[in-house]
Amino acid sequence: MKIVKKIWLVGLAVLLVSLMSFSPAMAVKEGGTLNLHINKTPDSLWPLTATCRRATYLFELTYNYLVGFNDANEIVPQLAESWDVSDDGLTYTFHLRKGVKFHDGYPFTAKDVEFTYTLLANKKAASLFFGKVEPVKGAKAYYDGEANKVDGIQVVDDYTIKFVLEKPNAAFLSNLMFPIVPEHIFGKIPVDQLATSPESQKLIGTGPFKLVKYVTDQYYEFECFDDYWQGKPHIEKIYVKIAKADVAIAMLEKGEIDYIPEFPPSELDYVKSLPNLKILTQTNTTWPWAWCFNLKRSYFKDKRVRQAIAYALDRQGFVDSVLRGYGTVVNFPNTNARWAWPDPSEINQYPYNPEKAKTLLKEAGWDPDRVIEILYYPGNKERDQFATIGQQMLKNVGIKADVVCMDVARAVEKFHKGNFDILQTGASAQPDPDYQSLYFESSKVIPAGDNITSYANKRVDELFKKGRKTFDPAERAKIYKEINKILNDELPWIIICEPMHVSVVNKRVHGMHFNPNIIAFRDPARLLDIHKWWLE
Amino acid sequence: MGAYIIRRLLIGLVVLFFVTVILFILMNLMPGDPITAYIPPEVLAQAGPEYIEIRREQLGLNKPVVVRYFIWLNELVHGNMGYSVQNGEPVLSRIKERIGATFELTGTALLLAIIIGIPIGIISAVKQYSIVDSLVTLFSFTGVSIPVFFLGLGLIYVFSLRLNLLPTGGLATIGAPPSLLDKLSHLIMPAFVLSVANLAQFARYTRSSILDELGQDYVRTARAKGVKELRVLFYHILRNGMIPLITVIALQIPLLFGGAVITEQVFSWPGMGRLALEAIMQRDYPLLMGITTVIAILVLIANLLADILYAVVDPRIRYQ
Amino acid sequence: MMRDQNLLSVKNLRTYFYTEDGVVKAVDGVDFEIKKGETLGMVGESGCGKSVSALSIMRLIPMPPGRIVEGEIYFKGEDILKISEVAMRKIRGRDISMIFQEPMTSLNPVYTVGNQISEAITIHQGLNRKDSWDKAIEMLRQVGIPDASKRAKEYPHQMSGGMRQRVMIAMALSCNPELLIADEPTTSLDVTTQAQILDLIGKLQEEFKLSVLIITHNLGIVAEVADKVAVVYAGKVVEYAKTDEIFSHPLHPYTIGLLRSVPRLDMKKKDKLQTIEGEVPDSLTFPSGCKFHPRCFLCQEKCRTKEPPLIKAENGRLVRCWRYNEI
Ligand SMILES: Nc1ncnc2c1ncn2[C@@H]1O[C@H](COP(=O)(O)OP(=O)(O)OP(=O)(O)O)[C@@H](O)[C@H]1O
Ligand code: SF4
Ligand SMILES: [Mg+2]
Repeated sequence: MKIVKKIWLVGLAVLLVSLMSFSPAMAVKEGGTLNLHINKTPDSLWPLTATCRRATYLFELTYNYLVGFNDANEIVPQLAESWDVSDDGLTYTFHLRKGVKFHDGYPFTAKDVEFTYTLLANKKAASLFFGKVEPVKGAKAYYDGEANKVDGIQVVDDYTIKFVLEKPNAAFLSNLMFPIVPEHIFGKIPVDQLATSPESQKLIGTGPFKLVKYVTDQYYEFECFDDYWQGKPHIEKIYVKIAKADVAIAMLEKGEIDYIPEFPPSELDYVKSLPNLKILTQTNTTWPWAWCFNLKRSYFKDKRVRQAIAYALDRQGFVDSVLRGYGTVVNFPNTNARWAWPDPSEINQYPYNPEKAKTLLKEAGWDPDRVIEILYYPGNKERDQFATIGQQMLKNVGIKADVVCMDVARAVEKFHKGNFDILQTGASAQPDPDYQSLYFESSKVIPAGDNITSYANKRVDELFKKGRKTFDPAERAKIYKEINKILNDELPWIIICEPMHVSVVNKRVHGMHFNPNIIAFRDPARLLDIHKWWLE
Repeated sequence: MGAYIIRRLLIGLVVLFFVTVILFILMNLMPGDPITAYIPPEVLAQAGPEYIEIRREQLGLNKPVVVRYFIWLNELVHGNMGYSVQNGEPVLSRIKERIGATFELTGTALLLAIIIGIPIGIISAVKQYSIVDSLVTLFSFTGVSIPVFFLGLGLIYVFSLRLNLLPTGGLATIGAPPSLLDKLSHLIMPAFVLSVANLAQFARYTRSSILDELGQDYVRTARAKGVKELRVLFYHILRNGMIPLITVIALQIPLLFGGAVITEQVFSWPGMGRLALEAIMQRDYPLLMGITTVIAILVLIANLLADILYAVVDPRIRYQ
Repeated sequence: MMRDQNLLSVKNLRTYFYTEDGVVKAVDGVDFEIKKGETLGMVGESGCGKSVSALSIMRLIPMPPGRIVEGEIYFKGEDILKISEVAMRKIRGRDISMIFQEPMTSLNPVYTVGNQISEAITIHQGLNRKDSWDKAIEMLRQVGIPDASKRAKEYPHQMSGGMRQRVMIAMALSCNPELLIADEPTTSLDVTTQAQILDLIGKLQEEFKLSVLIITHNLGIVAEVADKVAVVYAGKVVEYAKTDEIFSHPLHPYTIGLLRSVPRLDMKKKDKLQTIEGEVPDSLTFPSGCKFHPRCFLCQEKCRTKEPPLIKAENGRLVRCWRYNEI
């Protein structure tokens, strides 16, 4: 009931604590070298095709987006200094910042914005982000090769650009978080060769740091960009080191790494014993962990069965023991958009209650001899543990289950064929709640979309459609609140919890400010204000 | 001798052909699609509905397996191993970037295993049933069975964290001028970890091989001639004892590459092993095909070298 | 006294093997002497301890598990069981040489035969490589290997068994030893080659003024080459006499049995070859009393309980039997 409030409180506390710990009494120092960790070499550094989340860290060092988010989750200027939206909600006019330079000294203009977003709509570019520009007028025609430009993207002058949409889309602005790449470099390269061109791996952007060196599978070396539009960064040099997580912890202790942005909570006890380190958390993640039911299975059709399973799982216990408390139990597919959250009193919290689970199962006529399968793919050390923990809890209420672990490729193939009972997975949340339609709109049922559970509810479909057309914040909020209430009751997914985002950093690093919400064009958003960081 | 080598070489080529055919088939039997494997579902969801189809078309994944195999083979013959599914980089260049580091690691590990393992084996054979022998036996059993991963992390803990003697991983100190000492200090731990299993194996085989030879009649003959014991050991026994070891060493080479996969992970060693692991996880067939083909070639070369060495050491083969 | 005339004199030699199953008394009382230029034949069934006796003389018993527990071995008047390993090594191959039963495996497969012969020469005569190589070729010639300089460069596997045994002989004689121990040198060879090798040993014995200890279970060979014979049973010498005496008038029932089992040319096809009944006793479970008694046709009560000593019989013959004078 009070969960949501609790989240708020924790978030606030973290904010306050972080503000206090970076007390302005200390004088900012210039220079020094920061060592960052990622656990895998990103497959590519080309923003359009890079699939690896770790690439986002490098993008945050080197690129800027048109817009950003503040702590209150509002959209704020970045490369776009301001924007106007037409009354019909169809035309967005962006006024771009002047004096912004790319790493090679070239000025940033509307041409670059036009180029970047046109590229996203170019089929030949094999961009993974066509979805971001799809609402723009003519994007689809361009994508299909029926037009030679995107009609809706219109450069007015060097510092003004217009986006005209096909139909109103409330989520459009937040979709604009995408690295702006320089036209003067990439415009010369044939589109289908862009992703594999050596230039595409050089991270030439407008961001606070520039890439100077990459040593295969070892590290990336960055230098501060003197002409950065938000001012020259305090830190002189950054090494992004690639190492396995276990080893990274050793390197952290040795001082070879200053900052591990993604830290496994189960290792935190050890870190707490080390005086030179501090733990940072972001309360709200974009990555809830869930059990998804295959609703095509006759025995999951009765929602009482799903509800029984929710009661059977001691999720808070899991958060406390395995996640060391660094997580929050939630009861609807969450998003960062707090405004879309229903009031806690309106939703069922499914507290741990095996007796109630048993009763519900009996009512629903659950066959105690049935053996179901919990499918998961190794993804996160802590999350993976839940499969067996959950199996045990199900046993306690009389549900027999097997745990099946497969690598991602095999698991995806299996669940795309609808050949599963329960899939344990992590889902990515986007800033705008509309993203939930990916998983719950009936037109997105696998394999066509990502509606893994094959959930279909006419009312929910209607609401999603309405939500995209509604601009009045209060109206919109009502719509998504209703969706979440329905999902909370019907439980196509049981959200296990939302793990807090845990980073560990050496105390010599100062000036870090964490947006309590993680919002970016892709997950991380840990380095967005790195130009303000400084080293002792 | 020349004919012998040519015969082996031809056999090797035929074997290689079949190896690639089998690999290709196996890879295509592997469940999972390269595109859904490498693109996270939530990213894929934004990419547009036909994205998978478009990529499949671009990558030629829609053609029948047989056709794809021959396209691949034809390209290979012309020196092109294809392009990585993940990022479209030429497979050959991705391998080239890393093969040196892998060689450095596996080569050093093999060398360590040989120069430590074989003498240990000799000593324990000569001092059969002594304390030294028992220790060696104990060591070789633990050495063979201890997981590389575990040993690697253990050594990092002791030598890097607690004693602060060696770096935790990587090829060289970042930002430091290159020096041999720096290089060695980075190389020693991973190479040792990788070599331990082989080292133990070699020690065990050397021991049993030398023990076998010690009981041979020609050893008695040599002693009856008045040959000194050391010479009996190093001149008469060792050369005979090495013959079965050549096979053992050659057989270990593929396993060494296998072990390198994990060692490279643990020690952030930028070799092919990490690439291979990724290629498997992401069903990057061209990359995996390239890596396995390169390794198959290396293994065949190692076998060829072993065969040649065999003939050099053992006249019975040379004069067949 | 006597000892001085003997090149080799073995007294009460006992060599045991301490195995997991128990103590194997492979040699348990062996006495014999060899004078200069003399040939002693040592005969006995398989497993009776002939090879172990020979290896004891060379001090090449594998230790552990073997150990010479008792006895003296005088070579040129000196007890070679008491000298250092270094001194013993100088004797091996220079003063006492040995050739073995298995020419197929007794040579090192990975070195040329010339190399293996010249190795001994280098060790004992301090010749340089070339000289010892020449000497090795010379030796090959002496043992009747045609085209010696070419064959010296061959490896053992390129040669026949007879050839290899010749190589072994060449190697054994390359440093002019005084005593040659030939442990069943012809057993694994075909009949014609056997005769050739025996002839060769006889010829070389003359030339090199060798004393020879020839070990065999073939009495025919003994008759042909030996001056004296030591019959060994279950690790002990049971009869010791001149060759012609043994053949004309054996004193030990075991010797008689051995003689009966030798095929003779005058035998008709239908005459069955006699063998000694019973089995060779297991060295771990030797019978009490006379070790031969379970198989002996003369066995009496005393034989079962009390072991006969080596008794001096007429003409200085030795025999280990309570009832020898009844034969
Ligand atoms: N290394 C050893 N360890 C244990 N027992 C041994 C060893 N060498 C020989 N013996 C035993 O000593 C006994 C005598 O063996 P030896 O080789 O002297 O027999 P032999 O008379 O030469 O027989 P053959 O005619 O078969 O060569 C046998 O019982 C044999 O098992
Ligand atoms: S002592 Fe007795 S048993 Fe032994 S050989 Fe003589 S007669 Fe036969
Ligand atoms: Mg023998």
